[in-house]
Amino acid sequence: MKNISAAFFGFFLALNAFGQNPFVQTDTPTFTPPLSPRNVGYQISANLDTDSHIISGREKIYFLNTSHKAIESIQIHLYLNAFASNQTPMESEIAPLRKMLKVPVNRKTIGYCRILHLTVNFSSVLHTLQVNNTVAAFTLPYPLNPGESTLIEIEFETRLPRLVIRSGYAGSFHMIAQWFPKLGVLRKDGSWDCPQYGGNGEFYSDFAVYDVRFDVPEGFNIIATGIKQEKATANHRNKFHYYAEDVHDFVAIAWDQFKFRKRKVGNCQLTVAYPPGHESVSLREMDALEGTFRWYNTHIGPYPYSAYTVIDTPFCALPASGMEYPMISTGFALKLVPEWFRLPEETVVHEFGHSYFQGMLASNEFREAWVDEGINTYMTALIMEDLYGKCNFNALPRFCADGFDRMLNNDYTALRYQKPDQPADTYTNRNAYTEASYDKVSMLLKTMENIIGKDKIIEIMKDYFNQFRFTHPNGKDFLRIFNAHTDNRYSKLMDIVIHSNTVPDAAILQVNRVAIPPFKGFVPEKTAYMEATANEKTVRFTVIMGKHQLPLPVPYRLTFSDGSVLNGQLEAEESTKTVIVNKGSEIRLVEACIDPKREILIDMDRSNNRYSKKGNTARRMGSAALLLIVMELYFYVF
Amino acid sequence: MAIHYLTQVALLILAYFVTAPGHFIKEHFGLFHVFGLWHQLAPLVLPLVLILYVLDGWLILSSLSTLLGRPLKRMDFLMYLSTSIFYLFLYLLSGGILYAALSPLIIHLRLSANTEVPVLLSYLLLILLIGLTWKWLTYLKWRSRIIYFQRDIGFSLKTPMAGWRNSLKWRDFFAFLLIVSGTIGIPLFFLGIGCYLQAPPLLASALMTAMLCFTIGKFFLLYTLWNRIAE
Repeated sequence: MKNISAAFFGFFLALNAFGQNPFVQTDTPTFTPPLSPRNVGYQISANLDTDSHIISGREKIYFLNTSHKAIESIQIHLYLNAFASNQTPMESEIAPLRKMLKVPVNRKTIGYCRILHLTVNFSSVLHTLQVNNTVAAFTLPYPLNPGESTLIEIEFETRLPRLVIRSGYAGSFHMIAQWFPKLGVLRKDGSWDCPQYGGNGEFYSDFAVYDVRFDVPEGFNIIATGIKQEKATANHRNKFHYYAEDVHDFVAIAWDQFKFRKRKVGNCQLTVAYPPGHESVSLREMDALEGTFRWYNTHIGPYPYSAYTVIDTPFCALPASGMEYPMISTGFALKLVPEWFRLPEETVVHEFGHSYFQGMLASNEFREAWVDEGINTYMTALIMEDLYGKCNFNALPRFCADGFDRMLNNDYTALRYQKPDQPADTYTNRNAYTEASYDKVSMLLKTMENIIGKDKIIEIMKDYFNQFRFTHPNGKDFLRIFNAHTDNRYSKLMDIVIHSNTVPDAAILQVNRVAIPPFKGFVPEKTAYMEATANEKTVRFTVIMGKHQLPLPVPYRLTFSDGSVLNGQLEAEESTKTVIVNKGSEIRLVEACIDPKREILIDMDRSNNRYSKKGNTARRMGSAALLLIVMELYFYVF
Repeated sequence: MAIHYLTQVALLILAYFVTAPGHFIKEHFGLFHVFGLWHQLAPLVLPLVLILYVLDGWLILSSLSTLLGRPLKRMDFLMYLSTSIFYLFLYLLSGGILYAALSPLIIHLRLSANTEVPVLLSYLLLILLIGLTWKWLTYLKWRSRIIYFQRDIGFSLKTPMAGWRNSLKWRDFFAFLLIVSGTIGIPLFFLGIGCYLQAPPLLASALMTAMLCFTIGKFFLLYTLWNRIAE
């Protein structure tokens, strides 16, 4: 036994010299040369008990010290400890969701991840393990110098919680996400970036090689990150072998009722795995997936992996929906979702977009969620418009709406005290997180698109992708590229929006109408007293407009009842402007509108953008009708 | 009836002006603004419903006492108010019981169903059961109020339950159900079309028709029940 251990140890010492990840399949590597540094590798074998929802696993982790310092300890994520009790930070974040789903915290619904054995280069270090909720740390038997690698072996037990958010089981559906002990990210200065797992931030990991074997009861299927190498059945158990290179996470889904829809596009196998009953909606998802796949490959850069799967979750597993993982995402679809309501399509477009923005451009989602979520939300709207036209979110003609129409009607009060550039766990609630990280940034990028043009913004995204793919870019990297492409013309606005809690606003502040009496008086040049006739009455319209923290030129339009239109703009440096117009006394100001074409979307408070006497009647009557119905119902109740 | 109708029109006109969102309005009036309307209306609903309740109660009580051929008494108002409160309590109680009875099924389906269809059906069943129970309670409430007048039994604690005895007259209940459904359903249909098209003349005429339907329906209902109970 000692000889075998010594042989393994020698093998790893040899690896140190070459820096080769030992879990790369040498006979059939997927990517040559590697797409990422591959300083981490995982070899996992896991056994799922679908009754107790417990995964018993063993993993070997290859880890190369890429920092500039020798390290003495290692930090790992034990994500599912977030569901271990009702006292964890995650639980307080998801309490409203748990209440809505009516899933109480009890011995059947909790989840955890615990380490049973832990060795580093065959020396047990379990006694040094310190667990703090979802993060554990242990001491290495000897310091690991820069450029040296080590082998960590872990035996672990994970219990999946009842599905409330992202991971867990629902009926026989098992969403096996963030389930294994996973290394944090080692910074160049030798410190660890391994934050606690919460409801808002999701990923931040190194690119790695995953060689994973799953053992599930017969009848269960496993869909997982990577390429399926093998499936075998023995002793009433199904055994799956998956292998993935240059991905930052590994997720698996086990279920016994999946149906599949497959389509080959280029060298990539696109799959939608859906529950019985979702036949028609899964076809919509597949069309959206193919369209998005082609769009990204044409406009941004190639999708390098040879498979992508959308998991259309069953109704009971909806809390797992709308999540992105490497090579896999979960869609949001209901059997009865009508054709005109394109939420399933939008979810597929958004989650596939994460293959680029966070999947390959692996920014730190805990620290700067806006870098992937904000940009990807904007890209989603851009692609949805290309694929489905103007009414890409709601295609009912009367209620035609795109993604931005929906966003503009959100409540953005949280933006008064939250900003995009802050750690995900510092947001007061989920709404504040989405308003700041998703909506505000995507509105900013849409505004930029309206000014600099769609082609230019796609060019910026393409450049960002080409420069930083398979690395860990941050917000500064993106802003640097953006500002370079736009000659720093919009850097001030970008800073205001991203680094502060200010919401830029443009508004019609005041509209006055003053009657000017006909002229009576002395005219010096004619040296005579003159009086205009009574029918020469005029009125003076004074329109006061203003803008706040919005260093962009903003157009305005005044429309009068004689059909005349006055167009102009507030210059970038102007904070207020007064427009005075004289008209005949019978003329009315029909509409005063700032940003009439709705191009400056970062002006998110649209309620003060328009003064009008038109269009109020139907709205008032609609309100009155609603009131009438409520009033009338009382007769049958009181 | 005419006074009733005019009262409603007056209240609606009041609502029209009070709910006016001012000159600064959103650029689009889309699907998502419809949800926003509620926040605008909520502070107005309670006072206007209370005003209508008082006016409506007074007009209906006047009609019933006219049918009886006697002037209104103070006790009539007390009877009207007490039946309202008593039956409101019963509505809430029955709704709560039905929800509690069906919630294990609903939760089970929510946590295990592959599609949303069984869950929606279970909610539909709940709404249907609550609707039918409430209609039955409303039927009993109006029977109690009419019996109080017809038999001139005087106000006591038993008055709100006066209509319970000999109440299993299905023909009466279905007549009640038909009139109520027509009274609510037809105007709602027109109002729905008016709101969808957002054409002010159409919406205005739909509103006027709706109110006419409500007024006629209410008095027709009282008249029918009065006659059926008198037989």
